[in-house]
Amino acid sequence: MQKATPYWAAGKFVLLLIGALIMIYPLLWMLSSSLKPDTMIFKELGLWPSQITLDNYFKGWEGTSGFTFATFFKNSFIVVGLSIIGNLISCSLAAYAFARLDFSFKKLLFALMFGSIMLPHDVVLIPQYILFNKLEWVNTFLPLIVPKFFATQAFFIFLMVQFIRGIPKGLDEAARVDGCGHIQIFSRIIFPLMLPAIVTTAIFTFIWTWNDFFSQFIYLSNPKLWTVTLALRGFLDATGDSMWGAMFAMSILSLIPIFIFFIAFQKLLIEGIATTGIK
Amino acid sequence: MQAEALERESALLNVKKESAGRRLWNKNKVALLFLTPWLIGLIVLSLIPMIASMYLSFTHYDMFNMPKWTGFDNYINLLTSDLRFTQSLKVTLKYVFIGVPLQLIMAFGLAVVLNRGVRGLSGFRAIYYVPSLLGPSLAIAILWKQLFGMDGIINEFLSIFGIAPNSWVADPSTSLYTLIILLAWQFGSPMVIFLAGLKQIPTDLYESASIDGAGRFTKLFKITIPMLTPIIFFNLVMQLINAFQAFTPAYIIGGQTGGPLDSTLFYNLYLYIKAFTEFQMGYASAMAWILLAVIAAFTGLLFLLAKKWVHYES
Amino acid sequence: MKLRRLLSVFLILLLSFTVAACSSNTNSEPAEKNSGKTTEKNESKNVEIRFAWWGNPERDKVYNQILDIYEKENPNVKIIREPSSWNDYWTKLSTQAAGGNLPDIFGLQLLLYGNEYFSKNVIEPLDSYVKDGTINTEGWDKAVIDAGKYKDNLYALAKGVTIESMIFNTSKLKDLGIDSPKSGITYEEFADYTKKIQEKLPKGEYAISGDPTSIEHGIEMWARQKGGSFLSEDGKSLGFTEADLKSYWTYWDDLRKAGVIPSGQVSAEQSTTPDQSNFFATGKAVFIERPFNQAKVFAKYLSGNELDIMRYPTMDNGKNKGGEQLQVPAIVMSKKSEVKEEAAKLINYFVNDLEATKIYKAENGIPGTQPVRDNLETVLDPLDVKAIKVMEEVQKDIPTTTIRPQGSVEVLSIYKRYAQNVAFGKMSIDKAAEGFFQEAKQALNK
Repeated sequence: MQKATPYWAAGKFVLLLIGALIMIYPLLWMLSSSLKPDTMIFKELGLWPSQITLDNYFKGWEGTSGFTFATFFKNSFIVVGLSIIGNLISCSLAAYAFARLDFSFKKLLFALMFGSIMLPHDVVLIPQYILFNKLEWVNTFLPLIVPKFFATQAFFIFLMVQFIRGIPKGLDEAARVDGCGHIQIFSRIIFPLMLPAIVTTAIFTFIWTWNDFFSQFIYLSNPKLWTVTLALRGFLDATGDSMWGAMFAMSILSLIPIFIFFIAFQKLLIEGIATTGIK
Repeated sequence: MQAEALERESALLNVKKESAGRRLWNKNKVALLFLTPWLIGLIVLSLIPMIASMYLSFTHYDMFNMPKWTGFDNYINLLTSDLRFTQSLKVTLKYVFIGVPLQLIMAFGLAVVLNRGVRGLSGFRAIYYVPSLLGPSLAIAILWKQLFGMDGIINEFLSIFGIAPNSWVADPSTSLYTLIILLAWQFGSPMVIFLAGLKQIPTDLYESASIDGAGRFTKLFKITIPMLTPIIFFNLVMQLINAFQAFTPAYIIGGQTGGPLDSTLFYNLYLYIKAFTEFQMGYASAMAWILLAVIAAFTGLLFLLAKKWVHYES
Repeated sequence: MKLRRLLSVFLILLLSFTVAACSSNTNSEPAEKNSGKTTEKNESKNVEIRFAWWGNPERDKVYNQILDIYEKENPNVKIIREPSSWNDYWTKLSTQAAGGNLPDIFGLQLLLYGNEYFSKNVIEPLDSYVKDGTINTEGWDKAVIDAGKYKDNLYALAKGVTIESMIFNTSKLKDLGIDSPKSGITYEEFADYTKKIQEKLPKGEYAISGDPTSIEHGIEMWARQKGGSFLSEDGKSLGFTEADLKSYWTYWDDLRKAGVIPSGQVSAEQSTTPDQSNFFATGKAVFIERPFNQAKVFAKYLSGNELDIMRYPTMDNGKNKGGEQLQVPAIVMSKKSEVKEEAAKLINYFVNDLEATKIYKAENGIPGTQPVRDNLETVLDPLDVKAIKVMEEVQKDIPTTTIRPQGSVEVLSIYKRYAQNVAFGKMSIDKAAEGFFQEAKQALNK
């Protein structure tokens, strides 16, 4: 990298700082709303609360029907954790096959993979619901987790395929000459080298599963099984009194794990590559 | 290269001895090993539901009683007499073709800037990702109304320039654009993918270019962009598909009905309304297949064009 | 080998889907009659009852309190609670119905969704339980029982009854030096009255918060006052004329021009903002059109202000003085329930037990039974007491409540779209009425 001139660097820094303010504004606004008394949230629009209270946090944490947010966080972590493991294993296996192997009907299968990404979820929802109901999986975490072990989020397959294609084929061939089979090439060469894609998959799976609302609310009815996202929606009621303050307070709390996860893994994104060092 | 030639030779030798079935098995056994989990998922969780929805699209199905076969009625109604269908298609196309390029340009620009050479890099990255962490959530829905509403901050800001206040969220000619801004503002996901892609570019390419005296922009256009084309392509395809299927922004922020005056009636929102509030699952299934065809056409086009500009490592 | 096994898995799954899709119809009548009589012996058997309702954590507390007491009194019963928020509730319910997995007992808003569910053979008629005494309907208002009937069978019992009304801010009226509206005020008088209020209000404040034409209750009441209905009983045609619609829109358009109700754009913004922040809740409007059970929610936001409830304007030259519908959030039982007898007992407990209803109070509106109302007298919110008076007054001169027929949801959304076109000034009233009638007819004849 050539050395940047000081003016260029300073200008860039200031611009980034202004941009950062725009990016973070909603977070500050949420934080401020969560600290205002429930009745003030919509009366006082400014960022600085004139009266600070932690009531929303206590009231929100209580949750509903005898289950606190401790339960909801635990449930979210179970679903998210297992989803990440499932996606990483199943999607990387399929991606390796599509990127590096030659097999019959490859084009057709690739097209089918895309088809499964393109069809709107609403219409496969009912058949899937009927299937999971027959298996007696409704009101368990299984409908949310098991599909991830069968690579149903084809988005990640495609992501990994694109990354594997960026890895020089010479590396595979060298390994093959050394006597490595496909399983070894996959586990010793491709998997470590596509670490950026692995990390990206982990980050996205975390965030999307954490925030995914639709399938969670269809399959989890009992508050014992509610995730954080479901509990947040539960605070609002269009026909009566909504608990906005509690909703904002718990939204802030629910961002903390995602944020920590993102920061930790994006570090990995940078450092991971430096050590493997593609030539 | 040598190994490959050897393999091919031995394969040729084997062909003569083995039956066709055996050959098929040998060719595919390794791939099958890698593909089995995905294949099971594809068949059970995607293909069967897809076939079911294909069947339903030719029926009248109210979700309670048996589907009634109606042939092509749903499709004919959709394409000839449903004005809201046309409107929803228009809204979605606008959202896709304005929103996605904006979002990708933001994502790419910031990924390049935040790749290296700025103080506090990882802090900035995290902050620029914040909007995407929030997602189209309930909190954002409220915020958007406070920003773009009649008494919103945007109006306060514009009044400095003497622009008359307007309720940007409730004006049918601008409401869609507030959602497009939301899309462009939540550029975190493609940005992270770009960043990951940038990491994969070997640094020695830049070093040798510097020795040849290449400037910042030469490097961007001669190294970064060509090396990144597979990732650019990926982001383009995925964001296009995502935007076509956009639902939550309209459902949560647009107030579930697609108003005002259907100006935020996304295709998938209309589909949802048909399916779950008007109990016309057959009709909704037909809509899903039309959407699939539209997305497939655009994606297919992108794949065709990709041959001209996407470079893979060979 | 492998292929064949895979194929058989595929076929089994495909089959299981079609079976599930049919099964909502295969539940035949005789089987269910048998189950009604054999339950005596199963009395002490442990049962699980799934109970779903809409609400928020505050309302969930009320439900849980009642259900906990019931569990304590009936140790063999375990109630699985499935609360959700209003908007999500209906999506989940229809998915569960399609999957043949409805909760044993669940809430149903009759005016909106009653017939969509009653007509589809997924809800258990309650008549046999009333006959054998499991469910008690003594002391219930006839109108409320009728609201839960479909084709002469009783399907639903009210958790409460509410009526679309005008909630108003008395303190604000006092500040303006204007008397409260007289009871039974007519449309013409109401127009003059609100215009008078508007003249005294500063810019940015409104006599009425929001636009009554943006929701369907106004036109439905207007049609009923003229002797019609929103849709005909068979759901095949509209229950009012183009002239009715034009006169209705003209009435409100006049008030829109006078500034009594906000412009189309401002109303559109209002309709999607949270209740806490709308004009009425922030003290910037005198009236708001809402079901009267919501008055106490607004009282909470407007602490320091006194609120009151007025019935919707009446019509003196129509067929009926009032056109209000009883809006009934009711409780129903799934036809596929395997614990019907126990479920019926729980329903009876929930709507009739004096202890349970004392906890529930007027959460979903005024109870539809006299003994329960008497029992509540001392514990009700003053606004609920006012609501009872309005309800008594209204019931004197309205036609019977007609649950909207199946298919009405689609027509409602068409109506709202054309009404908004008028409010935005994008269409003339004549053109919009013509367009609405054309599109609605097309939808109804599908």
